[in-house]
Amino acid sequence: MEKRISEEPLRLETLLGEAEDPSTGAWVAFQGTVRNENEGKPVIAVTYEAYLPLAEKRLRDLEKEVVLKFGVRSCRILHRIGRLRVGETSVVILVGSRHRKEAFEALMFAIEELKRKVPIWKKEHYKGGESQFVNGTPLKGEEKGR
Amino acid sequence: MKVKVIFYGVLREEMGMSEMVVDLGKSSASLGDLISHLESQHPRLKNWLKDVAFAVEDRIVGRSELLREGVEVALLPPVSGG
Repeated sequence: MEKRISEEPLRLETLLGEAEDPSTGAWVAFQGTVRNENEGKPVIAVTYEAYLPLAEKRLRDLEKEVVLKFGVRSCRILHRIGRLRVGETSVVILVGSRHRKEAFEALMFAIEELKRKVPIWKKEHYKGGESQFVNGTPLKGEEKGR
Repeated sequence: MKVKVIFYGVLREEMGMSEMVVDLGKSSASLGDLISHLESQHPRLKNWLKDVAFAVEDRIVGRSELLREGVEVALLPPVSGG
């Protein structure tokens, strides 16, 4: 099965290149990149790590959930792990839909849920040498009745 | 029975190690037993445990989950992906 998580450099172009579906009229994309500051601290790099067995599963499940919940035609999510410099891409998401309204909504949901549900952790490295894990969201078990 | 505990994210730094083997001293044990053991043996960990999720392979498991010999239990602190 195709992996959603890899240490290789991520490119939105990779997803856009696959984006061909005659019944899709709207493609909406998100690209997350490493920013050079957080809460006033100068960031020079971040390290992402993942608990792969569950993270891969949750990304696949999230893609399916997005399609079902919003009625869009496709949702693809890729996340990079390892040490990333400022400006490098950590996550890309592409949603394809017949119409644009649900595509935008689906994309928003996808990134928000990813940040809550997927076992991936970000550690920031600051100019000056210190580093710190970012405060996160506690994970829950499988949620029923969504 | 012995199980392996694997620490992720900030827990690795808190514990100063990435994994450890825990001997629960009886032939059958639940995740709850493991949690009680960790709380009593590792006070540093105790404060984190309420916000930690426990996983075996690709499932989050609850306190009543029965553990088998040699299982690897992943301790997942609050997440910050994306």
